Amino acid sequence: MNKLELEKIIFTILLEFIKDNDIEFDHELNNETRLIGSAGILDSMDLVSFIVELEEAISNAFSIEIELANDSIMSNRTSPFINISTLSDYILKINK
Amino acid sequence: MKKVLITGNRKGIGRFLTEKFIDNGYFVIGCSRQASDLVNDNYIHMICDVINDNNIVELFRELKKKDINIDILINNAGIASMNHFITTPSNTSTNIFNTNLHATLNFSKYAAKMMIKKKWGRIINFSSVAVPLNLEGELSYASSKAAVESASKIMSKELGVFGITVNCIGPNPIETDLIRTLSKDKISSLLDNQSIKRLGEFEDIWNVVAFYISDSSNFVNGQCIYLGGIC
Repeated sequence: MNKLELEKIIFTILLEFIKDNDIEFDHELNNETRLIGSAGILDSMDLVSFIVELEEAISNAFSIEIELANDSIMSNRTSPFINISTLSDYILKINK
Repeated sequence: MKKVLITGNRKGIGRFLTEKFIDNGYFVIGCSRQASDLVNDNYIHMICDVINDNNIVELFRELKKKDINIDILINNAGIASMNHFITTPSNTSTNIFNTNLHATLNFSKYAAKMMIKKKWGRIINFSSVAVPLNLEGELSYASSKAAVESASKIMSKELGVFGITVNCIGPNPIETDLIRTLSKDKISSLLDNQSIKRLGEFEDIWNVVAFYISDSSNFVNGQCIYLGGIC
C-alpha cells in the first residue's frame, strides 16, 4: 500500500459518496480539496458514513483492517481528514 | 434472515434470548469466554472476553470474513458486585465498568459500522432498576449501568440519522447468577420498590426486546424501559 494507491481509493470512494448522497460540489476534486470544516465537502454525519465506506474499501483492496478513529478528527488544524493528501498520510502512518 | 449478535449468552438471559431469536427465525451469533453447548444451524458461537479490545476486533474481523453483517446487537454481558463502596476493591469497580460500559461501547461501535451501511439497525443495552432506585451496596454496578443509559441516549442521537435505534432495558431482579447471592430479605425489600411485586422472568425481557426490534418501533429511540413497575 503506497500513497498513490491510497489516494486513488480515497478519490473513488469520495466521488461515489458525493454522488450517492447528492452533495453539492461543483469544483474539481484534487488532493488539497477541503474535506471537513466550513468550506469542506463533508459534514460530521457525512464523515461518519464516509469513514465506514473508506475502511471497507481499504480492507477489500489491501486485506487489512484499519480503524480511522482519531481524537482530533473534527479539528480544523490537526484533523487527518483535512484533505485527501493528509488523509492518505495518516492512513499510511497508522498502518506502519 | 436478520443477524443478531448477543454478548455473554452462554447462560442466563443471554441464552434465553438466543433461543428465542432462533425460534423466531433469526440467525444468532453468540459470544462468551467459554464455549457454548448450543447447537443449531442458525447459530454460531465465538469465544470472546468482552473486556479484551483485541478479542472484540478479532470477533468482528471473523464476522466480516464470514460475510455476516449484524442487524441487531444485544449488549447483554454484564457483571455485578454487592459491597459497601468503602470496602469495594478498586479493581472490582474497574472490572465492572470495563464489562458493563466499555464492552457495550466497543461492541456498539463495530456493530454500528455494519448497520450504517444498511441504514437499519437495532442496539439494545442492559441497564438495571438499580439505577432509578440508587440501590445502596451496588454503587459500582448501578453507576456503571447509569453510564450505559447515558451512553445509550447519546448513541441514539448520533445513530438515529442512520436508521439505527438504541434503547435500554432495565430489568428488575430476575432469577439469574447476578442475584443468586442475595438474601431473601434483600430480595423482598427490592420487590417492595416495585408496583408489581414479583421477580422478573426471562419472558418479560423478551417482550421488551421484541418491541424494540420491531420494524414498527423505528420511532422508538433513546428510551429505557424498566420492568416491575419501577418509575
